[in-house]
Amino acid sequence: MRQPVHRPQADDPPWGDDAGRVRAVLSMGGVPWQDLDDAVQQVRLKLLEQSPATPIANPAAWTAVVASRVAVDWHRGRQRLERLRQRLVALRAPGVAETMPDRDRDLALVVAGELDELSPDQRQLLVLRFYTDLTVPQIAGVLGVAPGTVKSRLHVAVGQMRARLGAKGVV
Amino acid sequence: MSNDDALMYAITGEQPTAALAGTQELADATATVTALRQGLAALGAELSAAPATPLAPVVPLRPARRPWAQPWLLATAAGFLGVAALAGTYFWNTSPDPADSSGSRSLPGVVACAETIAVGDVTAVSKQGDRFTVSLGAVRYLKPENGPASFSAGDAQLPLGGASTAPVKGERALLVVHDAATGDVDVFTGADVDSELAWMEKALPDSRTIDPQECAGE
Repeated sequence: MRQPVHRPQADDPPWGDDAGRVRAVLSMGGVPWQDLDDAVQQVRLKLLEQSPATPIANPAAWTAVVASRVAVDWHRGRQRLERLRQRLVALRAPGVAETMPDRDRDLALVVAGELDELSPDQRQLLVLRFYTDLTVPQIAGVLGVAPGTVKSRLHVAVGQMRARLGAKGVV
Repeated sequence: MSNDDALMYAITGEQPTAALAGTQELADATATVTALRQGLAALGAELSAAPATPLAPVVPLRPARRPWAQPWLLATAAGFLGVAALAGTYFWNTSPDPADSSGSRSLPGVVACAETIAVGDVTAVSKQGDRFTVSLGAVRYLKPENGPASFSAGDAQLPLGGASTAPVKGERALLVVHDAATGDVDVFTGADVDSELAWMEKALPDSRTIDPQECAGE
Protein backbone atom coordinates (compact mmCIF):
# COMPACT_ATOMS: atom_id res chain seq x y z
CA MET A 1 0.00 0.00 0.00
CA ARG A 2 1.44 3.31 -0.95
CA GLN A 3 1.30 6.33 1.21
CA PRO A 4 0.44 9.55 -0.55
CA VAL A 5 3.37 11.86 -1.03
CA HIS A 6 3.09 14.88 1.18
CA ARG A 7 2.76 18.09 -0.77
CA PRO A 8 3.83 20.76 1.65
CA GLN A 9 1.69 23.76 2.20
CA ALA A 10 2.89 27.15 3.26
CA ASP A 11 1.50 26.76 6.76
CA ASP A 12 2.75 23.21 7.34
CA PRO A 13 4.36 22.78 10.73
CA PRO A 14 7.91 21.43 10.65
CA TRP A 15 7.25 18.71 13.18
CA GLY A 16 4.42 16.91 11.50
CA ASP A 17 2.09 18.57 14.02
CA ASP A 18 3.84 17.06 17.00
CA ALA A 19 6.56 19.00 18.77
CA GLY A 20 6.06 16.76 21.79
CA ARG A 21 7.15 13.79 19.73
CA VAL A 22 10.39 15.54 18.85
CA ARG A 23 11.06 16.11 22.53
CA ALA A 24 10.22 12.47 23.24
CA VAL A 25 12.66 11.20 20.62
CA LEU A 26 15.37 13.50 21.95
CA SER A 27 14.65 12.38 25.50
CA MET A 28 14.68 8.71 24.62
CA GLY A 29 18.00 9.36 22.94
CA GLY A 30 19.27 10.56 26.29
CA VAL A 31 19.46 14.32 25.72
CA PRO A 32 19.47 15.85 29.20
CA TRP A 33 16.29 17.61 30.18
CA GLN A 34 17.93 20.98 30.65
CA ASP A 35 19.39 20.74 27.13
CA LEU A 36 16.14 19.83 25.43
CA ASP A 37 15.33 23.32 24.23
CA ASP A 38 18.77 23.62 22.66
CA ALA A 39 18.39 20.23 21.05
CA VAL A 40 14.96 21.11 19.68
CA GLN A 41 16.47 24.19 18.09
CA GLN A 42 19.17 22.06 16.56
CA VAL A 43 16.56 19.79 15.05
CA ARG A 44 14.79 22.82 13.66
CA LEU A 45 17.98 24.17 12.15
CA LYS A 46 18.93 20.84 10.65
CA LEU A 47 15.53 20.64 9.02
CA LEU A 48 16.03 24.10 7.59
CA GLU A 49 19.45 23.21 6.27
CA GLN A 50 18.13 20.49 4.04
CA SER A 51 17.38 21.07 0.42
CA PRO A 52 13.70 21.75 -0.19
CA ALA A 53 13.89 20.19 -3.63
CA THR A 54 12.22 16.93 -2.75
CA PRO A 55 8.80 16.44 -1.23
CA ILE A 56 8.61 14.32 1.89
CA ALA A 57 6.05 11.59 2.14
CA ASN A 58 6.19 11.46 5.90
CA PRO A 59 7.40 14.68 7.52
CA ALA A 60 6.83 13.37 11.04
CA ALA A 61 9.05 10.35 10.42
CA TRP A 62 11.72 12.47 8.84
CA THR A 63 11.67 14.86 11.76
CA ALA A 64 12.04 11.92 14.15
CA VAL A 65 15.05 10.73 12.18
CA VAL A 66 16.67 14.15 12.44
CA ALA A 67 15.89 14.28 16.15
CA SER A 68 17.42 10.85 16.69
CA ARG A 69 20.59 11.99 14.92
CA VAL A 70 20.79 15.09 17.07
CA ALA A 71 20.51 12.87 20.15
CA VAL A 72 23.35 10.61 19.00
CA ASP A 73 25.51 13.60 18.13
CA TRP A 74 24.73 15.09 21.52
CA HIS A 75 26.46 12.18 23.19
CA ARG A 76 29.40 12.23 20.86
CA GLY A 77 29.96 15.92 21.50
CA ARG A 78 29.35 15.97 25.22
CA GLN A 79 30.00 12.47 26.44
CA ARG A 80 27.22 12.49 28.94
CA LEU A 81 24.01 10.61 29.26
CA GLU A 82 20.98 11.36 31.29
CA ARG A 83 19.35 8.47 33.02
CA LEU A 84 16.00 8.30 31.35
CA ARG A 85 14.46 6.32 34.16
CA GLN A 86 15.34 9.01 36.68
CA ARG A 87 13.76 11.63 34.51
CA LEU A 88 10.59 9.63 34.22
CA VAL A 89 10.42 9.28 37.97
CA ALA A 90 10.88 13.04 38.28
CA LEU A 91 8.10 13.61 35.79
CA ARG A 92 5.81 11.57 37.99
CA ALA A 93 6.28 13.77 40.98
CA PRO A 94 3.11 14.73 42.82
CA GLY A 95 1.08 17.19 40.87
CA VAL A 96 1.92 15.78 37.48
CA ALA A 97 -1.15 14.54 35.70
CA GLU A 98 -1.58 10.81 35.45
CA THR A 99 -3.38 10.05 32.25
CA MET A 100 -2.08 6.57 31.58
CA PRO A 101 -3.04 3.16 32.96
CA ASP A 102 -0.75 1.84 35.67
CA ARG A 103 0.38 -1.06 33.52
CA ASP A 104 1.59 1.25 30.77
CA ARG A 105 3.29 3.51 33.28
CA ASP A 106 5.09 0.54 34.78
CA LEU A 107 6.13 -0.74 31.38
CA ALA A 108 7.38 2.70 30.39
CA LEU A 109 9.48 2.84 33.53
CA VAL A 110 11.01 -0.57 32.87
CA VAL A 111 11.75 0.23 29.25
CA ALA A 112 13.26 3.57 30.24
CA GLY A 113 15.57 1.79 32.65
CA GLU A 114 16.64 -0.69 30.02
CA LEU A 115 17.21 2.00 27.41
CA ASP A 116 19.63 3.54 29.89
CA GLU A 117 21.79 0.45 29.53
CA LEU A 118 22.09 0.68 25.76
CA SER A 119 24.51 2.71 23.68
CA PRO A 120 23.21 5.85 21.93
CA ASP A 121 23.38 4.09 18.58
CA GLN A 122 21.32 1.19 19.86
CA ARG A 123 18.75 3.54 21.35
CA GLN A 124 18.48 5.30 18.04
CA LEU A 125 17.77 2.07 16.21
CA LEU A 126 15.12 0.98 18.69
CA VAL A 127 13.40 4.35 18.60
CA LEU A 128 13.38 4.51 14.81
CA ARG A 129 12.13 0.94 14.42
CA PHE A 130 9.66 0.57 17.26
CA TYR A 131 8.63 4.11 18.16
CA THR A 132 8.77 5.90 14.83
CA ASP A 133 7.87 2.65 13.07
CA LEU A 134 10.27 2.91 10.17
CA THR A 135 11.07 -0.27 8.27
CA VAL A 136 14.55 -1.76 8.23
CA PRO A 137 15.24 -0.54 4.67
CA GLN A 138 14.05 2.93 5.59
CA ILE A 139 16.31 3.04 8.63
CA ALA A 140 19.21 1.80 6.54
CA GLY A 141 18.52 4.56 4.03
CA VAL A 142 18.46 7.39 6.53
CA LEU A 143 21.47 6.14 8.46
CA GLY A 144 23.47 5.37 5.33
CA VAL A 145 24.22 1.76 6.22
CA ALA A 146 23.23 -1.56 4.72
CA PRO A 147 19.90 -3.11 5.72
CA GLY A 148 21.84 -6.13 6.92
CA THR A 149 23.70 -3.88 9.30
CA VAL A 150 20.48 -2.50 10.71
CA LYS A 151 19.11 -6.00 11.15
CA SER A 152 22.22 -7.24 12.86
CA ARG A 153 22.38 -4.29 15.23
CA LEU A 154 18.69 -4.41 16.01
CA HIS A 155 19.04 -8.10 16.73
CA VAL A 156 21.73 -7.42 19.28
CA ALA A 157 19.85 -4.56 20.92
CA VAL A 158 16.50 -6.34 21.07
CA GLY A 159 18.20 -9.50 22.28
CA GLN A 160 19.64 -7.56 25.17
CA MET A 161 16.30 -5.95 25.92
CA ARG A 162 14.61 -9.35 25.79
CA ALA A 163 16.97 -10.80 28.34
CA ARG A 164 16.51 -7.87 30.68
CA LEU A 165 12.76 -7.61 30.27
CA GLY A 166 12.55 -11.35 30.80
CA ALA A 167 14.54 -11.12 34.00
CA LYS A 168 12.05 -8.53 35.24
CA GLY A 169 9.09 -10.69 34.30
CA VAL A 170 7.80 -8.29 31.66
CA VAL A 171 7.91 -10.90 28.90
CA MET B 1 14.19 -22.83 13.97
CA SER B 2 16.03 -20.92 16.64
CA ASN B 3 14.99 -18.22 19.03
CA ASP B 4 17.40 -15.94 17.22
CA ASP B 5 15.68 -16.47 13.90
CA ALA B 6 12.27 -15.95 15.46
CA LEU B 7 13.45 -12.75 17.04
CA MET B 8 14.71 -11.45 13.73
CA TYR B 9 11.36 -12.12 12.07
CA ALA B 10 9.62 -10.35 14.92
CA ILE B 11 11.98 -7.39 14.64
CA THR B 12 11.65 -6.98 10.88
CA GLY B 13 7.98 -7.85 10.70
CA GLU B 14 8.63 -10.12 7.77
CA GLN B 15 6.41 -13.04 6.95
CA PRO B 16 7.88 -15.98 8.88
CA THR B 17 8.77 -19.21 7.18
CA ALA B 18 6.28 -22.05 7.28
CA ALA B 19 8.52 -23.89 9.72
CA LEU B 20 8.51 -20.96 12.10
CA ALA B 21 4.90 -19.84 11.81
CA GLY B 22 2.84 -20.78 14.83
CA THR B 23 5.79 -21.85 16.96
CA GLN B 24 6.30 -20.91 20.57
CA GLU B 25 9.61 -19.29 19.64
CA LEU B 26 7.89 -16.89 17.30
CA ALA B 27 5.16 -16.18 19.83
CA ASP B 28 7.76 -15.38 22.49
CA ALA B 29 9.73 -13.18 20.14
CA THR B 30 6.62 -11.36 19.02
CA ALA B 31 5.64 -10.80 22.64
CA THR B 32 9.04 -9.27 23.30
CA VAL B 33 8.74 -6.88 20.39
CA THR B 34 5.16 -6.03 21.29
CA ALA B 35 6.18 -5.22 24.85
CA LEU B 36 8.99 -3.09 23.54
CA ARG B 37 6.66 -1.20 21.22
CA GLN B 38 4.11 -0.67 23.98
CA GLY B 39 6.79 0.43 26.41
CA LEU B 40 8.26 2.91 23.97
CA ALA B 41 4.80 4.21 23.08
CA ALA B 42 3.95 4.72 26.74
CA LEU B 43 7.33 6.29 27.39
CA GLY B 44 6.95 8.54 24.38
CA ALA B 45 3.48 9.57 25.50
CA GLU B 46 4.75 10.60 28.90
CA LEU B 47 7.76 12.42 27.53
CA SER B 48 5.68 14.14 24.86
CA ALA B 49 3.21 15.38 27.42
CA ALA B 50 5.89 16.51 29.83
CA PRO B 51 6.19 20.22 30.45
CA ALA B 52 8.87 21.94 28.45
CA THR B 53 10.51 23.42 31.49
CA PRO B 54 12.81 21.26 33.59
CA LEU B 55 11.34 19.55 36.61
CA ALA B 56 14.62 18.44 38.05
CA PRO B 57 17.15 20.85 39.51
CA VAL B 58 18.44 22.87 36.64
CA VAL B 59 22.07 22.65 35.69
CA PRO B 60 23.27 25.92 34.16
CA LEU B 61 23.40 25.85 30.41
CA ARG B 62 26.74 25.86 28.74
CA PRO B 63 28.19 29.33 28.45
CA ALA B 64 29.10 28.72 24.83
CA ARG B 65 27.39 30.75 22.17
CA ARG B 66 24.24 29.23 20.88
CA PRO B 67 23.78 30.64 17.42
CA TRP B 68 20.31 29.21 17.15
CA ALA B 69 19.25 31.26 20.14
CA GLN B 70 19.84 34.52 18.31
CA PRO B 71 16.54 36.35 17.80
CA TRP B 72 17.14 36.93 14.13
CA LEU B 73 17.82 33.29 13.54
CA LEU B 74 14.79 32.20 15.47
CA ALA B 75 12.74 34.61 13.45
CA THR B 76 14.20 33.21 10.28
CA ALA B 77 13.52 29.71 11.47
CA ALA B 78 9.95 30.61 12.30
CA GLY B 79 9.54 32.13 8.88
CA PHE B 80 10.63 28.93 7.28
CA LEU B 81 8.53 26.57 9.32
CA GLY B 82 6.48 25.70 6.30
CA VAL B 83 9.56 25.16 4.22
CA ALA B 84 10.88 22.73 6.79
CA ALA B 85 8.27 20.22 5.78
CA LEU B 86 10.03 20.11 2.47
CA ALA B 87 13.37 19.56 4.05
CA GLY B 88 15.41 16.46 3.68
CA THR B 89 16.72 14.42 0.89
CA TYR B 90 15.22 11.28 2.30
CA PHE B 91 11.59 10.54 1.92
CA TRP B 92 9.36 7.61 1.90
CA ASN B 93 6.83 6.88 -0.76
CA THR B 94 5.75 3.68 0.82
CA SER B 95 4.05 2.89 4.06
CA PRO B 96 6.03 0.93 6.67
CA ASP B 97 5.13 -2.31 4.97
CA PRO B 98 6.81 -5.25 6.67
CA ALA B 99 6.67 -7.24 3.48
CA ASP B 100 9.35 -5.07 1.95
CA SER B 101 11.18 -7.28 -0.51
CA SER B 102 14.64 -5.99 0.34
CA GLY B 103 14.23 -7.08 3.93
CA SER B 104 12.80 -10.50 3.38
CA ARG B 105 15.75 -12.70 4.19
CA SER B 106 16.00 -12.50 7.94
CA LEU B 107 19.12 -13.92 9.55
CA PRO B 108 20.46 -15.82 6.52
CA GLY B 109 20.14 -12.59 4.60
CA VAL B 110 22.34 -10.75 7.05
CA VAL B 111 25.02 -13.39 6.65
CA ALA B 112 24.60 -13.63 2.88
CA CYS B 113 24.97 -9.91 2.44
CA ALA B 114 27.94 -9.50 4.77
CA GLU B 115 31.26 -9.30 2.96
CA THR B 116 33.40 -10.82 5.68
CA ILE B 117 32.66 -12.49 9.00
CA ALA B 118 35.77 -13.38 10.96
CA VAL B 119 36.61 -14.22 14.53
CA GLY B 120 40.05 -14.15 16.09
CA ASP B 121 42.33 -12.51 18.59
CA VAL B 122 42.89 -8.78 18.39
CA THR B 123 46.46 -8.01 17.43
CA ALA B 124 46.19 -4.26 16.96
CA VAL B 125 43.70 -1.43 17.40
CA SER B 126 44.00 2.11 16.13
CA LYS B 127 41.50 4.83 16.85
CA GLN B 128 40.31 7.76 14.82
CA GLY B 129 37.51 9.71 16.43
CA ASP B 130 34.94 7.23 17.56
CA ARG B 131 35.95 4.74 14.90
CA PHE B 132 38.50 1.99 15.06
CA THR B 133 40.64 -0.12 12.82
CA VAL B 134 40.85 -3.57 14.30
CA SER B 135 43.31 -6.27 13.25
CA LEU B 136 42.75 -9.91 14.04
CA GLY B 137 45.14 -12.82 14.15
CA ALA B 138 44.49 -16.55 14.34
CA VAL B 139 41.44 -15.86 12.30
CA ARG B 140 38.61 -18.23 11.67
CA TYR B 141 36.39 -17.20 8.80
CA LEU B 142 32.72 -17.78 8.55
CA LYS B 143 32.52 -15.82 5.36
CA PRO B 144 34.23 -16.20 2.98
CA GLU B 145 35.18 -19.74 3.86
CA ASN B 146 38.88 -18.91 3.90
CA GLY B 147 41.10 -15.89 4.13
CA PRO B 148 44.47 -14.62 5.26
CA ALA B 149 45.79 -15.48 8.72
CA SER B 150 45.51 -11.87 9.75
CA PHE B 151 42.63 -9.61 8.90
CA SER B 152 41.99 -5.91 9.43
CA ALA B 153 38.77 -3.93 9.23
CA GLY B 154 38.72 -0.16 9.35
CA ASP B 155 36.17 2.40 10.41
CA ALA B 156 34.55 -0.05 12.79
CA GLN B 157 31.94 0.96 15.32
CA LEU B 158 32.39 0.58 19.00
CA PRO B 159 31.33 -2.79 20.43
CA LEU B 160 27.60 -2.99 20.37
CA GLY B 161 27.10 -4.55 23.75
CA GLY B 162 26.64 -1.11 25.20
CA ALA B 163 30.30 -0.94 26.09
CA SER B 164 32.12 2.28 25.48
CA THR B 165 35.58 0.85 25.17
CA ALA B 166 37.39 -0.38 22.11
CA PRO B 167 38.62 -3.95 21.86
CA VAL B 168 42.06 -4.44 23.32
CA LYS B 169 45.03 -6.40 22.11
CA GLY B 170 44.71 -10.09 22.92
CA GLU B 171 40.94 -9.93 23.26
CA ARG B 172 38.78 -12.27 21.22
CA ALA B 173 36.62 -10.40 18.74
CA LEU B 174 34.13 -10.99 15.99
CA LEU B 175 34.27 -8.66 12.99
CA VAL B 176 31.33 -8.38 10.65
CA VAL B 177 32.08 -6.34 7.57
CA HIS B 178 28.77 -5.42 6.00
CA ASP B 179 30.26 -3.00 3.49
CA ALA B 180 33.97 -2.26 3.56
CA ALA B 181 33.64 0.54 1.03
CA THR B 182 31.51 2.59 3.41
CA GLY B 183 33.20 1.47 6.61
CA ASP B 184 30.11 -0.44 7.62
CA VAL B 185 31.70 -2.77 10.17
CA ASP B 186 30.54 -4.16 13.49
CA VAL B 187 32.84 -5.40 16.23
CA PHE B 188 31.69 -7.78 18.95
CA THR B 189 33.67 -8.70 22.02
CA GLY B 190 33.12 -10.58 25.26
CA ALA B 191 30.03 -12.74 25.52
CA ASP B 192 28.62 -11.15 22.39
CA VAL B 193 31.16 -13.05 20.28
CA ASP B 194 29.66 -16.44 20.98
CA SER B 195 26.04 -15.33 20.96
CA GLU B 196 26.41 -13.55 17.62
CA LEU B 197 28.56 -16.27 16.11
CA ALA B 198 26.03 -18.91 17.11
CA TRP B 199 23.19 -17.53 15.06
CA MET B 200 25.45 -16.66 12.18
CA GLU B 201 26.70 -20.25 12.00
CA LYS B 202 23.16 -21.52 12.04
CA ALA B 203 22.17 -19.12 9.31
CA LEU B 204 25.19 -19.89 7.16
CA PRO B 205 23.75 -22.88 5.20
CA ASP B 206 20.59 -21.00 4.27
CA SER B 207 22.60 -17.91 3.41
CA ARG B 208 24.25 -19.85 0.60
CA THR B 209 20.91 -20.21 -1.12
CA ILE B 210 20.57 -16.46 -1.43
CA ASP B 211 21.72 -14.89 -4.64
CA PRO B 212 24.31 -12.21 -3.81
CA GLN B 213 22.72 -10.11 -6.53
CA GLU B 214 19.83 -9.64 -4.15
CA CYS B 215 22.16 -7.83 -1.80
CA ALA B 216 22.33 -4.79 -4.01
CA GLY B 217 22.05 -1.96 -1.54
CA GLU B 218 21.93 -4.37 1.35
